[in-house]
Amino acid sequence: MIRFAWLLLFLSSCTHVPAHQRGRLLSASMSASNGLEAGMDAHLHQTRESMIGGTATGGISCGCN
Amino acid sequence: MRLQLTAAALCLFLGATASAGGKASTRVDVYTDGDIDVVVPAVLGGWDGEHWEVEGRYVADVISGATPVWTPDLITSATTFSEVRHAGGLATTWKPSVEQRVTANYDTSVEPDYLTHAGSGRYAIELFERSSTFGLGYGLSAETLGKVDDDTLAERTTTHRVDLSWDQIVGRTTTGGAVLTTMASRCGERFGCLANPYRFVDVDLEDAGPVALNERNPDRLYRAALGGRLSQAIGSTAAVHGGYRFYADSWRITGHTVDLGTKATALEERLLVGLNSRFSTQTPASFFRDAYSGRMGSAVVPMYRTGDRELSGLGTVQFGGRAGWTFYAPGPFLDLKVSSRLVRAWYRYPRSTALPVRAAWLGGGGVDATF
Repeated sequence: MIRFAWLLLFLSSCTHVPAHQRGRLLSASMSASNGLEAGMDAHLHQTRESMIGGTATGGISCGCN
Repeated sequence: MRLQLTAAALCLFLGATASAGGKASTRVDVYTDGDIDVVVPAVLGGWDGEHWEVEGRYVADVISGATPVWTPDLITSATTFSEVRHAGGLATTWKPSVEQRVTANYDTSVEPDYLTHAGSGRYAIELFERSSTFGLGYGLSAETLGKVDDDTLAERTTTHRVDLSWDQIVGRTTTGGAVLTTMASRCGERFGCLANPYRFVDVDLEDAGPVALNERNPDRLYRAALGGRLSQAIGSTAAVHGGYRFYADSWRITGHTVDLGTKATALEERLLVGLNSRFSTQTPASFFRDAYSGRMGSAVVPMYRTGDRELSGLGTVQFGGRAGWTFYAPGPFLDLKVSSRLVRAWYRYPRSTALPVRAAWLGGGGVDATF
């Protein structure tokens, strides 16, 4: 587990996209669902399934402020 | 060069709007599967400042329909019902620096026979020139389960939850992320975790014949889920999204969830359309049986029994589409987004003879504004 965490840290430190090249990542087609819709979906899935959690956030930074 | 200038302008715009501004959203979703209809109105409002963010939200579930009712004398009949669940929450985020966020949440949910209080906190930090975002969250919830016809029943559940998240800018057109969630619940001993106090289970006892006993699940539940997702931009206006989640818990339920989708924009990002799909499968709980039998002794046999289809093992398939339109700078707003979606879902319960397949529609729409 600790080795896996170090591997993630190593891999994540290898990539860097400057702020002025992140515009495509912030476009509407790349965005995740908004708060209310995501909350509705999570509530529906929790009601209809036993599974919960492990849902990635997609919370990247524009790196520009 | 032109693309880079556009991207830089967009980034500066987003940076400027992130420094101070408000947001407001409202939407209504409708779910129907033939047995129940649920109307879900929701509103959200927030303010985003340089060092602080605040957000408030309210959601209601207006549930109506017909549902089977089990009674101790094994009479099962369909009865109509109507119920409203009110849920609200507040969130405050402190930004000690541009790379760090500390968020505190409080949520509550109220039903005629159910009350939840939940608090959580999350710390997130951006590292490696803000290409990576790491988050650590902890949540504690306290639920009280009751029955509308029994004032003496108040079973309490306490749940601890820890989330570890990692979001990564992989390249100029690619993002990814992973989340590890662990949860530990301690529940009341009379019904156990996730049990429905209105539901009875048919048990064939050797020495007493068929009887209906209250559903009873184990009073401890430990859960873990690990999920990852990847988003890849296609050309200048489209993107594909994919995700996978593995789930396992102490009731020996394991599950897999896959979601795939695509989004595309047109008319200078005013029009957004998308398609999405979701597939999941999960195994039954270790104590689930197609039919329960036992012998009446000093204790009720079998100790754990459930009539919950969601614990019998299931598979789901879901397809949906969406469309939205963004108005830029209309009146006092920075932007105003109008969106709608329609989803078709099928739930298959291979070991349920009463209802092996359920088909459902989910539709909704809303308005999101920033100012």
